[in-house]
Amino acid sequence: MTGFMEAFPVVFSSPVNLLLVFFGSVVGIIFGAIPGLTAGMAIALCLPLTFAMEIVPSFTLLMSLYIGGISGGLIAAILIKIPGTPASVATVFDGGPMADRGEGWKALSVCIVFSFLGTMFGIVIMCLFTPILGTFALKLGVFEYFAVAVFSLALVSVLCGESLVKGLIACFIGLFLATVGAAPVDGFPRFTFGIHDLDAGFNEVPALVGLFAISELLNSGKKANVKQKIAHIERHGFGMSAKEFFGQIPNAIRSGIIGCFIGILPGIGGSVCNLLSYGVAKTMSKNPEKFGTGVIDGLVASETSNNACIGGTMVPLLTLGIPGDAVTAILLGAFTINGLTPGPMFYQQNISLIYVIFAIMIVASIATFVIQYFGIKGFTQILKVPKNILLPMVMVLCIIGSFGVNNRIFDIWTLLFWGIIGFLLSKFEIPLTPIIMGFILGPICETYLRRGLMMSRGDFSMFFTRGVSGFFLVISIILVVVTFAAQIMKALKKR
Amino acid sequence: MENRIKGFLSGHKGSLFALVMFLFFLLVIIFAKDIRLLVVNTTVDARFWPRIIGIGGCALSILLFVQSLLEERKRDGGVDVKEEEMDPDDKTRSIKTLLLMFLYILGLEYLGFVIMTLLYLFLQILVLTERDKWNYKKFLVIDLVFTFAVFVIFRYGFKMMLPTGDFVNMLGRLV
Repeated sequence: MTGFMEAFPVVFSSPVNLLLVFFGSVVGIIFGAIPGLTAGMAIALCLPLTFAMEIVPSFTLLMSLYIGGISGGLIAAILIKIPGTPASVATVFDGGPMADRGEGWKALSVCIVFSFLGTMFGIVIMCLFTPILGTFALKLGVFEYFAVAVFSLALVSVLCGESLVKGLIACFIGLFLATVGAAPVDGFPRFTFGIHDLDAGFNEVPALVGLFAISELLNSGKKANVKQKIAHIERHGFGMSAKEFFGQIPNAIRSGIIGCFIGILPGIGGSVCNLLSYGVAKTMSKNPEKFGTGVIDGLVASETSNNACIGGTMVPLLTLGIPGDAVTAILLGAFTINGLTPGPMFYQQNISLIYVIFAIMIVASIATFVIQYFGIKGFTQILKVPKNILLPMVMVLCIIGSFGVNNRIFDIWTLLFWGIIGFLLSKFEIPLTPIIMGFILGPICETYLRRGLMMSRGDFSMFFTRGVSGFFLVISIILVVVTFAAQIMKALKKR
Repeated sequence: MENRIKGFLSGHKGSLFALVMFLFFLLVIIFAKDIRLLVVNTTVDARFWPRIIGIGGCALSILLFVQSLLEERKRDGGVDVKEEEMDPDDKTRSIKTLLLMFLYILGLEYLGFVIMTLLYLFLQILVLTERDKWNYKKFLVIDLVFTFAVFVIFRYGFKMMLPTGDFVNMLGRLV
């Protein structure tokens, strides 16, 4: 507790940090609010700005972008009935009808308040679970790390998209792209075809931005010209009564727990937990028939869980060094840039920094709440900017971000390469998230597999005979087999 | 004839994709043979992981091929059916966007950030905007303001390097 309290003065010690919280939250909310732009994209674009910063300001900016980006999704979900981010899909179900009834402000304020409470709930869970998992992680070896990475890849492949085989193929494409460049352990270049710029492999920033942002630009088309119809809002105090607020507390706690739990599991993230919490809230409600007609219960479930998920995703990143989703994958890159490697030793050696990150998250969530509450009218204006103007500007920012990684044009070419891959694969309904997870986790998998096989002198059974690694590998196999069988059964039933 | 080929391609999109992926992962296995090794006579060398990826990818591609073939047969009884295709206008926009991006990156090396961004942004906005909504004056103002604002913020605010361009550098030296 003392360490935690000592972390706040570190954040407040410099006015630059406070400015970065403000800047990060505003930019994050804007990226979250505009459909097609995501929190991950905002972080990837701003990552080069942090190269010259110290670790605290660097994470102040990145965490503010993350929290602002996830919260910002609610604005578009309510006012134009298009989720700003995949994490706000369920917010549309009740937010849209409320805005149609002239209750836009009530829907917005309920979402803003419960987004804030969800983030805080997630941070509390993160503070409680990180030390436990951190201590446990110390007992893990190369076999266990390989197994956990495989489990993460299996989970992502199973849950992203409708077809397991397509998810796994996407994951294997990502694993292959990660092999380009110097091999771990012996360091010889692989699949570089004589291009020396590829000796260090593809950089994460252009890869991620290209895959998501450039493919979005290539996929835009007629929808870039569609003018958004924005619901009118009238500000009335907090928008809800004290009775309504306290009546939602059980729903919020339940949704917060779901959000945190889903966040801790690698690869699922906010896009699933908001729908899951919405479904659970509907099932447990006395009036399930009212869901979808504009009730605050649905908004509370969706927004509390997707924000609580943020704290959850940070737990495996800080304790195991394994990113849970695309956003935490970029945060892992940010740690590396600052010369830090998240994992069990990181937790033991940098406990004060971890407390500072907790403090940054609390400050950023308060800032996001205040900025969203008082600046909501301003953010609605940004939704009016048509995509045919906005997307080319984003493209220019992507170029700057990619160039900034190493100050070389080659990284911009790789941005385009990854963008084309993303665009082509999306045409064949191949999910993109497993590609990036395969790309990030590939080197981890290979390093630990090779080290494990060296230790066991080529005996693969060691991976199964050790308790934790055996458990995760068996679970991964069961997960893939059961999902595959379920998909075959479903296809046969359709026949 | 051309329509028949188009119909066949769009009707068998899934299985053709699986075939392409199979060939791709097969190439991974073949090229993995050429990877130089530091340590020989060991099963876990630098070729080991790419081989696993190649073999796994080939197996998955075969699965996807079978799955797609069954789905295609079930859907159209073996008859070529046109799947939902991309709008021709959108296709043209995507190709033009890709071409513009290619030229933009190529030009950055020679003409630098400011000149190329001014050109790219204006043309990209035109490409994404429907012809009847073209407003040259408005687009030009947006282009100028955005390009110079971004240049000043990143170059002088964040002290970031931006591509200056060989040609511009050469001109600078001459002046």
